[in-house]
Amino acid sequence: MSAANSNNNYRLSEGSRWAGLWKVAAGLGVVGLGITAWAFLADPVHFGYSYLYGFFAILTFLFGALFLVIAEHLTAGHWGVTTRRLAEFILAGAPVLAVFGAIYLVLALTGKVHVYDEWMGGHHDDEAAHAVVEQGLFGASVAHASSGESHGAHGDLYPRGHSAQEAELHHHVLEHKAPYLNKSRFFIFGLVYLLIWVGLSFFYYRRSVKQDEDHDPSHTVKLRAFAPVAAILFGLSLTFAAFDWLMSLEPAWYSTIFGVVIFGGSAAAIFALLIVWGVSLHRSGEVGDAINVEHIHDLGKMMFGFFCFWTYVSFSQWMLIWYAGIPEEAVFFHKRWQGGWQTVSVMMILLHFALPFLLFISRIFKRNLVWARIMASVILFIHLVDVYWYVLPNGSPVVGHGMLFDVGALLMVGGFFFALVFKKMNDHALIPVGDPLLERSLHHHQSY
Amino acid sequence: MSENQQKRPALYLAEYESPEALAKAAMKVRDAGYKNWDCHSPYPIHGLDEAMGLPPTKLGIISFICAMLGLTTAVLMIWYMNVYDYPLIVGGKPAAMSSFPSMVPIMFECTILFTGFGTLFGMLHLTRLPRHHHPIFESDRFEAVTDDKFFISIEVEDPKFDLDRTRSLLESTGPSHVELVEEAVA
Repeated sequence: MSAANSNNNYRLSEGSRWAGLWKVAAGLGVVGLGITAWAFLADPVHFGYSYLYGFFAILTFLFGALFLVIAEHLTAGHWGVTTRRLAEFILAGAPVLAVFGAIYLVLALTGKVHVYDEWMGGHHDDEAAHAVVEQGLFGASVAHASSGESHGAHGDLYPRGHSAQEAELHHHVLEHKAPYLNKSRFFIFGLVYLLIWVGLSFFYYRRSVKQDEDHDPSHTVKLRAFAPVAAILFGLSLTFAAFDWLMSLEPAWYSTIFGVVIFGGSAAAIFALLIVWGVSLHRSGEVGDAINVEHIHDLGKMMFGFFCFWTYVSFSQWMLIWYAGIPEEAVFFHKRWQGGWQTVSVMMILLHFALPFLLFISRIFKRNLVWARIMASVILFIHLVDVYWYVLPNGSPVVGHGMLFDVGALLMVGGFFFALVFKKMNDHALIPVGDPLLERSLHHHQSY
Repeated sequence: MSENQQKRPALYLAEYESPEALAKAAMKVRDAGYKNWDCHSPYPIHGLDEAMGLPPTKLGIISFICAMLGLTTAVLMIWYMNVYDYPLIVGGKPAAMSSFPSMVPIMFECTILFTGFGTLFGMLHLTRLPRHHHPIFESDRFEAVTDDKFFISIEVEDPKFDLDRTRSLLESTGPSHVELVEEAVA
């Protein structure tokens, strides 16, 4: 369609600004690495939360991409074939996450990450000595200035982690959970999750780009045949990783739907990312007409469906806890309704649901590429806030404390991850040119 | 139907061999300005909407209005029952609108219920269904529409319908067969 791609092999054109994008991402990654190193030295306690945030926020994109690719092979639909390659580029970034994940596991094992101190033991006692907090589970927390040295500028006023008293109250529960919540299981399971994700990512990415060369439909047959197994492995690993890495920040609290909420957010985020990316590629003329308004419209419907799904499960989780009103369950939301986190919580309702619901419900909105990209950007932003909202209230009871470190960690993991992802755009076609369903996808069309 | 029963023309039926021929013919009929006409095929054909010049459906607007109606109904119903008429404290939550979260499931369900009915009956209205009989079934050739043939029908109710001119228009679109379907006068 466009002059930039007249040879129609769907490779990046000569001198395309996409070709050098990975360098920008890598540069941001280096900046983030610097900030994170500074965090490690300056505020070792907050560092753990920052690192977890940066890692998990980017990990959700891998979750989303795995879900999308596996689901497309499960259903054998043709609507998403041309945009599937973008998700496969995301899969290609899995090694970066495996490295950051492995580092995280080692840091947790060696006691350099303090976010799980309440159940991992570690240096919890030292921390409690710094800030003594009288906190009824439901009452307002009253912090006493401690005599000891603080970890950061706000160390005294805004204690992180849990007080000794709170730990005492949780002691019975934690003892009961010890067969699951312990260091060695955390480490071994963590490695297994990383292996599953890297394995699945490489399997689905490599076979697809190999099919570009040989146009052999047997690749598709194999990928489809394995899809049910992959879906089960993916679902279990995502759920338990969410339990292990996020839910255990509040070890006495639990929610059985927690993994599903994380999944809903991840799925909405990957469709949002593909819309932003796909519309931008379409605009720059790199993919000709292979990604057009019909494909973006479908991605928009899926994004709409999944942020509604996220709202549905998030609200259900919250309402059951609100209705029962049991302190040990309410503590999770109590933390997110003080210290300025109220604003973030309300922002999530507005930007993760109400606003995009009303402003993206119509077909006219979804088929307007400019508007679709704006709405997808809103979802991407609020998804990053969503993960922030899950991780940080434990680390900074007052919202915004140590935010520079959090953004730095996000830049570090995201920068290196997307550097590898964008680098792959130079190596392969931008759509799966060997896929047997490609022809149908190119002529994809929506009826009224 | 007896031989001496009176008949009157109901519609023209043109038969085509391929979906491409059907779409091309549809564009001609559309450009000729006909309104009461339709395409018939054994399966959905991408791009036929544009070829026929069909406007976007109004069903979405009907659904949306019904959704808002359902939401309003639920809010008013809960307010009247639980806050105004018979306040009842359940689970220690105040019998007031501040117990909003517990009302959300009802609001959601009512919204979905009204939208479902609105969409179904809106669709039935827009498509003028159910309809027990249509003169198009008088044609024996039309049975192939569920098999391997494609048809365009132009009805006599169309303001532009003319026995000679409509036939010549259809014949100019390259059909494999054109027939005038008649129905019995009651």
